[in-house]
Amino acid sequence: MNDVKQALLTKELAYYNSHKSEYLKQYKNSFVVIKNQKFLGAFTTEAQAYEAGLKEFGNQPFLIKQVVEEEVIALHPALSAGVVHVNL
Amino acid sequence: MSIYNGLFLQQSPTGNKISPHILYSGGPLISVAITIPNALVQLYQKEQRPIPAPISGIALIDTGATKTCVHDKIMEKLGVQTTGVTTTHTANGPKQSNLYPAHFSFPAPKIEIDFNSVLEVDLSGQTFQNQQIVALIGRDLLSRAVLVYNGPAGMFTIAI
Repeated sequence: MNDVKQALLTKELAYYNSHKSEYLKQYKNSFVVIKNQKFLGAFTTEAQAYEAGLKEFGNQPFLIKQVVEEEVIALHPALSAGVVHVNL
Repeated sequence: MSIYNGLFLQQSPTGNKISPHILYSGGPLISVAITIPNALVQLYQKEQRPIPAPISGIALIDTGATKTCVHDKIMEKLGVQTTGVTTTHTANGPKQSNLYPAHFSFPAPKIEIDFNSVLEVDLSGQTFQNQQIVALIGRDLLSRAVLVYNGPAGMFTIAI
């Protein structure tokens, strides 16, 4: 199930990456919404982007991506090491 | 600002006592109910669809985590669709993880947080006193909070 969802958003991510340089010029730091190969728009906040995506597509998977030069990496050291919770 | 004092009691011959050891071994844990984001509630109400019941459990405050995380499949069970994918690093190497909007209710301090995105992670086997840990509270929430961890006293305080 997870793989299916990732495959759906892979198309959107590919579309985003192919247009990223253009978005950086026009929408830097904004949040863009993409579904399949449709660009819905750019929004000031992530919450606005989600509301717009819901209004347009309903409760379906769609991509919200902040337009930044370097992607932010989510760090979870304890989870990465597999030691969120241990019995001592 | 809501304030929550977390402490763990241990039985002793003279009655219940706050246990620094339980905080040490369990970490700063807080009860949480995870449900669909507010924007989706509004959509469901407009469409006259039932709102899914929240999924309750315990969350671990994890100052090492940049983003708040939810246990595998919880958002899927709630019927929330993914809005992003990001790379996370696990013990088995890099992994693609889904992002979801979510709403967290913390019943004890009556704090409501609507997250634009939380990260789906596998917390299988992460339990405290046989309860599944369903979420990790990351620095995205802590950036709006004051957290005091008092190890010797066996308690922590979070104010949001």
